[in-house]
Amino acid sequence: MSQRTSPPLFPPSVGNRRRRARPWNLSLLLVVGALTLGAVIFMLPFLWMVLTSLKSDRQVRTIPLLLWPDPLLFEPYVRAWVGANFSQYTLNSLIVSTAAAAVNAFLSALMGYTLARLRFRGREVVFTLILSTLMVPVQIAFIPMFLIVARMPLLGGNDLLGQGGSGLLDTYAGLLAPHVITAFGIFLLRQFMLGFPTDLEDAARVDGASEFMIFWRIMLPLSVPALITLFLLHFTGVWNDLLWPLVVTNSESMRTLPLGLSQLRGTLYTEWNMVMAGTAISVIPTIIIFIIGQRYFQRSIAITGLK
Amino acid sequence: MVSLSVRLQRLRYRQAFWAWVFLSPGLVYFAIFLILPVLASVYISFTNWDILTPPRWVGMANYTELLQNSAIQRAILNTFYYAAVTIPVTIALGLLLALALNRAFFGRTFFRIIYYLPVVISAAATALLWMWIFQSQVGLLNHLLAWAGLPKQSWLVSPLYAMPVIMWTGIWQSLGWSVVVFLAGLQNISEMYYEAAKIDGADSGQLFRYITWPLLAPTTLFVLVILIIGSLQVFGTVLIMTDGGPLNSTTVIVHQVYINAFQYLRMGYGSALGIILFLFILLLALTNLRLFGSSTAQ
Repeated sequence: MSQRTSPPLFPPSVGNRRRRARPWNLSLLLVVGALTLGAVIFMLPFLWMVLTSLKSDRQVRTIPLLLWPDPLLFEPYVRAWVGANFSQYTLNSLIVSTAAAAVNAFLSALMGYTLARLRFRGREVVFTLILSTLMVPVQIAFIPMFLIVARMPLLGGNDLLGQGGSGLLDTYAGLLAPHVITAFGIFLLRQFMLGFPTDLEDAARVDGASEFMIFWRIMLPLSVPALITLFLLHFTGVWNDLLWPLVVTNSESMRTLPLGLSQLRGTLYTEWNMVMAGTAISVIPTIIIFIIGQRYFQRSIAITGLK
Repeated sequence: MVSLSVRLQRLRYRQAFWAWVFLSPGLVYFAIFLILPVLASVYISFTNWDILTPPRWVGMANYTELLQNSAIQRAILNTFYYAAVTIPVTIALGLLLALALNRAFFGRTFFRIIYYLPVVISAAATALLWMWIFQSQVGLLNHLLAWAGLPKQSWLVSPLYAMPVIMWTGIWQSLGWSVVVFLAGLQNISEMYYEAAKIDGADSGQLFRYITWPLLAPTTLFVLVILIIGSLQVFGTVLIMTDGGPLNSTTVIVHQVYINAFQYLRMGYGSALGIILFLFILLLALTNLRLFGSSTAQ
């Protein structure tokens, strides 16, 4: 789960390299026509989600199909938010994703700084080791990870040997556990900091600044664009994770949004207007983050050079 | 008076000291939450363990049992079926869309955002969005089929159609990512090659075959390897859309890991399956890098 940050990589030059738009001709018209058709199919589920979420349960089931909600109903959102407790799930998702993204950004910066700017024996070995952890799939580690979280000594009623209680199961700390640092984040920040001129820190060192001060006062402020990129990527990655919350939580009040969504369908009867309202609540934040932070999403590929 | 070399030496020690101080929280974390779990899961895979009672060493028993279990066999077959369909489609459509979006026209950014949106939402939301469209009584698709005079289908409840529906959902979710990576690859190809070839009278088919495709090979390899890793680990959509049914027709490897470990509390059995999955991924990724990596090394 520590690698769950999906790498949404945007080409660095897509937005910048402006080719002169050619006059419209038949082949371009055909291409744009096909793209439009594809875009309609791609947007259809989102559109249908919004329309369904504003209908009554009866309107959802009319035959023939009722396309537009009439009248517009916001009741499904209220039912999802209050009745199905999505307010709690949203809060849980916000807490866990924000904490994970913030801690990950700080620790990745600290380790990235160390691996990029400090000279010490073993640096290359440590870096290679960290990169190689990118290859370990989540599925091989999540069973023992669950056990480690459950057996945390002295926490959640456990004794020194991790017996007797439930450890960090069903807590925010437990939800957070696999998302604290990612190898991808360290890699991203290291690559970014490699690009700074050495004059800055040399001057600071001559003035007697400590290594942490150099990091805190010089490197961190300069890395803000990369930090925002990493924050957004990790936030959406943790926000969307399903497997780990499924494993580590029991109680209803600790569920995150994806887990809440997965439990929203009735066994016999599903109120699809409410399900779609819940889905909308869970996808709208990431979509807004993506549209606003587009250029930061783009930056990750420019920094890491992955293509 | 301290000589320069001594002062330099001190500086070097100081840097090394702080380097390890800064690295230690992260390294300890990796040791506990990454390396220890991986080693532990190898050990657990050789035991019978229900968490409640101490683990019992059983040697290779979990592995031999796994390979004879029909649900597991089905899960392995389904996983490869899923990968074999979704990967080529995602690569082909992704490349096609990237080629279209690489042309200059007003509104490119708009299309790029649209195609990328499914990438940023969760597998849980993706699953529900498409479940609702494929719903068998009042789903949008069946309405459209009825409107066109075609028979309705019971998509996700049918052993025949459930897997294709899950595959389509997976393609929808990963296509935007492959488009964007291919776009980056296309923009790294210098215009010079195309101009030179055009002077020599190459048509657009030849331009693609002799310039775009070979120069795009490293990008294609990257997309291929990432898609292999991702599709062999497919889980969220399966869990929510079908829970592996009907009749195990959509169960996949990670789904079986999850069921065995957390519903039947067979930690050893689940771990063994996780390790088999890891070996599959490693083998396929390495084979691809070996086969195509050497020819595309830049």
